[in-house]
Parts: sequence; structure tokens; C-alpha cells
Amino acid sequence: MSLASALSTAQSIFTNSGTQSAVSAKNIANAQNPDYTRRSAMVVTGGNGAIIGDITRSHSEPLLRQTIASSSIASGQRTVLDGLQEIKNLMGGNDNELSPAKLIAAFRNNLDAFAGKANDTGIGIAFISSARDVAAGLNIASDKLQQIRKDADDQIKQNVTDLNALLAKFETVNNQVKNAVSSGTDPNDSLDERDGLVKKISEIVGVTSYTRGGNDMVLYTTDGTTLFEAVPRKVTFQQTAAFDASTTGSGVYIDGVALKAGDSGNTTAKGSLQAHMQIRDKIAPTFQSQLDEIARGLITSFAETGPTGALLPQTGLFTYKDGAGVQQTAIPAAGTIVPGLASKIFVNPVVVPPAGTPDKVRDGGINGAAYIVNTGGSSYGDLLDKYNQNLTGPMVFDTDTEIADAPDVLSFAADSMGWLEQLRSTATAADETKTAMLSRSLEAFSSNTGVSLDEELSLLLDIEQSYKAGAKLMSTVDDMMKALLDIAS
Amino acid sequence: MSIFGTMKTAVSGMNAQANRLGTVGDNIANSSTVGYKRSSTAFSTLVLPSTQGSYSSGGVETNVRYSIAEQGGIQYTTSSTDLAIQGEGFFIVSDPNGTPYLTRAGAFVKDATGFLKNTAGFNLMGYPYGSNPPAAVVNGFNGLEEININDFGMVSSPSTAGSFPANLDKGAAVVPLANRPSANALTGTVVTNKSSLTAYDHAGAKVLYDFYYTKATASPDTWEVSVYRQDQATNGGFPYTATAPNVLVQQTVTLAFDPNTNKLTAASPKAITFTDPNDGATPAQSITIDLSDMTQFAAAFTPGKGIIDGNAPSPITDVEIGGDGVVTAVYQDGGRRPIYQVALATVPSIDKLLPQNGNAYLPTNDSGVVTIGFPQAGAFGQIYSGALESSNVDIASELTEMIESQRVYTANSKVFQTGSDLMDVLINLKR
Repeated sequence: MSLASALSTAQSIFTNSGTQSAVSAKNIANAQNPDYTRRSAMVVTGGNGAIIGDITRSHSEPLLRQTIASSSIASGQRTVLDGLQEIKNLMGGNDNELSPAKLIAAFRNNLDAFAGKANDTGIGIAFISSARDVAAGLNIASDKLQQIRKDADDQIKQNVTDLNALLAKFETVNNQVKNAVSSGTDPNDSLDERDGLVKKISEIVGVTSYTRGGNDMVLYTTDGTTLFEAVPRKVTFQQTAAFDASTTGSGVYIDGVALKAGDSGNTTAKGSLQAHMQIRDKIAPTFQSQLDEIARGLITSFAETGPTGALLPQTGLFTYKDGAGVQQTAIPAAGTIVPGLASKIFVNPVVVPPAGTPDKVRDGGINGAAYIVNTGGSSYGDLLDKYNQNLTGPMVFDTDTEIADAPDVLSFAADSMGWLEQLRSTATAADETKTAMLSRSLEAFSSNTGVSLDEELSLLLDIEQSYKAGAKLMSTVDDMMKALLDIAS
Repeated sequence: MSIFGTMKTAVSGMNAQANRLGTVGDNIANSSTVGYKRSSTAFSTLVLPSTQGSYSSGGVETNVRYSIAEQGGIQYTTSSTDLAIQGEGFFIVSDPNGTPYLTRAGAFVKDATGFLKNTAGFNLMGYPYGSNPPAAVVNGFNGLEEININDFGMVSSPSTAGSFPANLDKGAAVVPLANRPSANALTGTVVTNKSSLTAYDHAGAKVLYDFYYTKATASPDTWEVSVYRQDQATNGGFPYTATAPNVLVQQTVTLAFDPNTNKLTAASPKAITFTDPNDGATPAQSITIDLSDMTQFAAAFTPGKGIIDGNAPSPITDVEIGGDGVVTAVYQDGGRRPIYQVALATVPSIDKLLPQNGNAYLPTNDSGVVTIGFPQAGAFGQIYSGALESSNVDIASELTEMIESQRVYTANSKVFQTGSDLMDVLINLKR
């Protein structure tokens, strides 16, 4: 060991301290970055003194896997809950005052009053007005529900666009990682970026990842479809321009395989994509079918059958239009959903003042003289009583509504709200659990891989000490050289 | 006569010390030169015949020696083309005329034409790497080439083999023959599970292959694995078609599972091999995907780590030199390929090499013949990439030698002066 080699050793101390403090500074700068994984510079013996062998990342594969899984589960649940919340908002505030059940109840009160005081035109007008509220309520709920489906469809489109963009970016970053690994340069920044991208992708669709040779990552969806392998797989989706009750939204295809929609309140959806599909294809259509069945129940309950009840039943107070906007008189078949009926129901114009009169409901004859029941005078409300009984009379509903066991249209309307609230409460409870799980795994992940400021600062003290020692070594060697040169002069 | 003789002896002593000072000066000047080996002087006597009672002073003869074999310290740098040798080997480099030299100065940098040139302007030489590792020509410079890393701009290798492990769900529904992907029918195809793998054709283009897994029979447990080329699909689905001159790529094997181990039975095929002639190469590209790690447990379809070889054409982004001297091109997409192997040379008597400009050495008759080999073999030593060998000059010992040489020079001059004074006395005897 000559003096010169002692000098180069001191130099290696400076180089190492420099690298170590740069690593530490980067750690401190990224202390608040959730996608950042702490690095440490590993010193190994080599050459004259020591060299930085490697800059390692305190990475934890199982914790990352856990975080990714819980982030997609939580994101799916949150999306479903948001969708349910939106549907619930259609029904008004806390008391669901805009729900068909509430509107029908108010309408029934007016019917009772009208039946009790059948000759009071004022009450008759109020009754017709509440009937129009019911029809309008169903129309609005149905239209807005389809708007929610349309929004979900737009969200799916947006998600698919985002997913394709993320996958394209993933390819770039994955190539950077492979490149850095194979050329022996520092891949850590790219690795952080790649893990961050996987987290973002997992919010849209559930993923499982594998690492191949050269730190090349392969992504599969949780269904086992290839999402990324050397190149991103195509995610395709055809947006639907407009929705009505009979529209079926198109599917999302990943690498040619259809993605399944989520199921139930505690949803099976992993990622927002499946959850949006659940809203669009399952929850909203079911609720729509319930609205349609309520509309059908109302039309059927108020059907006119003539004085003896033997005439062909025709639509009375409530009627509907067909697809072309023509008013219909036929009563829809029992126990079968008529898609979109809730958006087409309206109060027959012949009973709406000022052009029409509520008396036609009381007396019958909306469909012509043959259907007049009450010829006794304006005080008789027997037909109104009959209609009232029809509302609580037995009725068969389509099983696709999921609440077909309701005995009559009033309970059906109430059950519909119950179904929605039940779904929402399940989803809320599940959301709490899944969000808690996500925050727990994020916590565990960040405490394991994140930066602890006090740890970094104490490390900085160590680095400072070794730097000072190196400086001391250098000044000593310098003194010795000086002594030697003094002799020579 | 003897006074003149003494004066001449003093002159030869002064000359010798001047030589010594010269080597010290050279050493100090080159103390920071990469790969510099220090020189030193050794002296020997020159004796004149003397008789009894009469002494004729002789002189001193200077021999310059080079400590070429002495290892310099290894200093780490940040350039991967900086090379240092620990051992007895020398880099073989060539000057612009193509003359080979030996050197330890390994500060190589890629020049505009792709050659690895060191500080003195010599190009690094090595053996080109074919499909097999090169063999060294032991006793001559034949077969060596100047290493050029621009010649390897684009390469690709077509895929030939891969593997795909997965668990297939034991409970999956059995699909009738007509509805299986192997039927390639326009309608009614049932896709149970699907995955895809990226392969590379002869042109280096990425080609995606779709793999369909379909339960064929439940007893015994068999699964059909069908492979198709993804770009031959119709709107991303069945049927897969190709119009001439393109050829439809389609292959199906039936895997049989042992219900006891849930792995493939001994008789079952273990791989799927398909040929894709669509890139026009002869013979047609044949790819074998190993399926031997497939399992059939009652759990959801779980694909494992799918691997396939081959790489896409991409430019060299970096060159890496290993401890064994293999120069590896690193491609943009992460692929790697050995392109050269750096050869090292050594001689039996290293210190007898003839120094040339630019830290280079030539073999001489004294040094013996050159032997060539690869790093990490024999006494050639090891190559460190990203490191340089510093000069083996120690300033402290050089300064010590300088002081010593100054004193001896002065002493010699005193001898000369004394002789001169004596001559004065002699001449003044006669006035």
C-alpha cells in the first residue's frame, strides 16, 4: 500500500458517501410518495477500499400482491355502491319521497277521498293530479335510470380507454425495466413506476402478475385472461349511443375474451370495469323491470271492463304509448315484463281537466259508452272502490324482477324500494369492510417499503461520519506528502 | 593517467545518476497515467585492468528496467467500457496501421465508427463470437479482429420454444366436439379458457398466438389445447381464416390428466408443436410450447409464468464486458447477445517487453513469444469492467530515489572537482 493507493481509498470513501447521501436524499424527497419504495446503497469491498455494489429496493412482493388485490376489490365495491347511491337518489331524499311506493300511497289517499266524496269535482281534480304524479314519477325514474345505464356505459368506455393507455405505458416502462436489468443500470425508478401502473390498472380490472426472466412482467386478469405479455393485449368495447329499457349494452373484450359483470350487493366485481358492467347490465335493468311491472300493475288495476265486467278489458285511468307514440288500449299480458312500460305510462287525457273530466274515472266509459258503469248519479263511488280494491288485489309478477313474490301492486312497489335499500345496505357494509382492508394493506405496504424519515436522518449521520473520516485520511496523506516534498526541496 | 581516469569515472557516475533522475521524472510525470508501469535503473560496474600498485578507476553502466509485471491498483469508474486486468494478461490492441500491440491501458471508449479506442488511440481486439464460443489461436495474432460494436445494429432471433404452466379447472363443463375451438366453426364455439403468447418470427416481428383450453371428456379427464395465430381471427373470434399465400396456423393436442396426481399422465402429450410458414422463411418456423406443468385441480383457471424465447429487432443500447471478456450487446428491448470475446496475451518474461508510445508494449526476443488466451483461464487473469488499473508508481519512493540520486550526483561532481583541482596543482608545479 503506497501513499497514492491510500489516497485512492479516501477517494472511494468520498464516492461512496456521495452515492449513499444521494440515495438517502432521494428517499427523503420521496417520503410522501406512495408509489416510492425505499432504496439503500449496499457497500462491498473491492479495488482500493469499497464500492457501491448495488442499490437495492426494499420491495415486498406478497404485500404488493395483497395491495393490488384489495385495491381492485375495493374499487369494484366503491363503484357499485356509487351506482346504487345514484339510483337511490332518483327516489328522492331520506324518505324516498319520489319513489313509486310513496307516490302510489299519496295517490291512493286521493282515491279514497274521491270515492268517499264522489261528487266533489275539486277532490276529483286532486285525484287526477296525483295520478299524473305517479305516471310522471315512473317516467322520470325510468328515463333517469336509463341515463344511469348510459353513464355507466360512458364510464366503461372511459375505463377501457384508460386501461389501453395504461397498458401502452406499462409496455414502455416494462421495456425500460428489462433494459435496465440487462444492461446492469439502476432499474429502481422504472420498477416503482411499473408497480404504480399495476396499482392503477388493478383499480380498473383485477390483475395477477408474474415476473419472468430479466424482470419482465406478465399480467393476467383475475379471470386468467392475458392482459399483458411482451405487448399489451387489445381491450375492446363498442359504446352504445343511447339506452332504453330493451337496449343491451355491448361487452368488454380483453384479448378476445368477454369480461364478466360483477354480481350481488357484496359484489364479486374486481375493478371498476366489472362494477360498471354490473350497474349497467344487472342492477339498473332489474330495477327498470320493477318499475315496468309497477306501471303494468297500475294499468291493469285501472282497466275498464264494462258494467258487467265481461267486456274486453281496456286501459282506463292509466294508459301507455307504443314505440311509435300511439296511445294503446290493450292491457299488457299478465306476469310478463313490458320493457320500458314505466317510461311510456301516462294518464288518459280524457280524464285530465280542463279538456277532460275526472268523472269518467268515477263513472267509467273512458273507452266509449259501452264501458259506462255508473249511471246512478255523481254521488256513487262504487267503481272507484273497485279500483281501490284492485290495487291490493292479487297480481302475478314476472320472476325476472327478483321480487315476484309480492302479492299485489302496492306491496310490489314497497318491495321494490326494499330490494334497492337491501342491496345498498349490503353494498355499504361490504364497502366499509373492503375499504378497511385496502387501507390496512396500504399501511402494511408503506410501513414495509416506504421511507421512514428518522431512519434516513440517522443514516445520514453515519454517512457524514464516514465522509469526515475520509477527509481526515486524505489530509493526513497530504501532510505526509508535504513532509516528503519539503525534504526534497 | 589515473587522475584523468578518476574524472572520467566521476562523469560516468554523473551520467548514471542523470539516467536515474530521468526515470524518476518519467515515473512522476506518469504517476496518473492509466496502465503505466514504472521504470527504474540498475547499475553495474565497468572495471579497467589494474596492476599491482596501480588502480585504474572504471565506471558505471546503467541498465533501465521496467516493472511491467507489477500489478497496479484497481480504481472503479462509471464507464462500463473501462477495463482493468488483474493478472498477467495484456489487452491486444492495434494501431491505425493494424500492427498489434500489448497494453494494460484499458480506458476504452466507443468511437464514431464503433471501435473501442483507448486513450492512446489503440483499438481493442478480440475474437468474433459466432453461434459458438470462439477458440483462441494460442501462438499468434491470427483470427483477431478489432472489436466493432456498430456492426451489430439490428438482430433478431425467431422463437422456437416456450412453456406455459396453468391450472385447468377440473369442474369445467365438457364441450361437445362441434363446439370446441378445434372445430374452428363460425358459430357455436364455446371458449372455456384462453391465453395468448407473444412470439417472434424470422423478421423479428411480434406474432401473437391464441391458446384455447377446452375440457373434452370428464372420464377420463382430457383437455383439448388448440393454438391459432391471433391475426388470422375473424373480428377477434372464430373462425380463424387465411387467404393464400398465407397459411392457416392451427394445431390441437389432447392432454390427459391423472385423477390421482392431477398432473398429466405418462401417456399424455407434454407439448404442443405448431409450424407457422407465414414469414416465408425456409424451413418454416416451428414453435414448441411445453405444457408439462399443466395441472387439473378443482380451482379456477390460473395461468402461470408463460415463457417464450426469441427477440425482436432492436438497436444496441449498451455493451457489457464480463469478467471472462465476453462482449455482450444489450438490445433496447432487453435482449442480450454475445458478440465478441476479448482475448488476452502474455509472454514468459513480462518485464522484458519493449515499451512503446501510449503505454503499449511489443514482445522482444528477451521476453519470449506471445501466448494468447481468454480471461479467467491460466495466468491471464480477470477483466474488471467499469474499472481502470492505475499506474504502479509510488510517489514517496520516487521522491526518496530522487533525493538519493541528487546526493550521489553531487558526490560524483565533488570527485570530478577534486580531480580537476589536483590537475591544477600539477600544472602549477611548472611555471
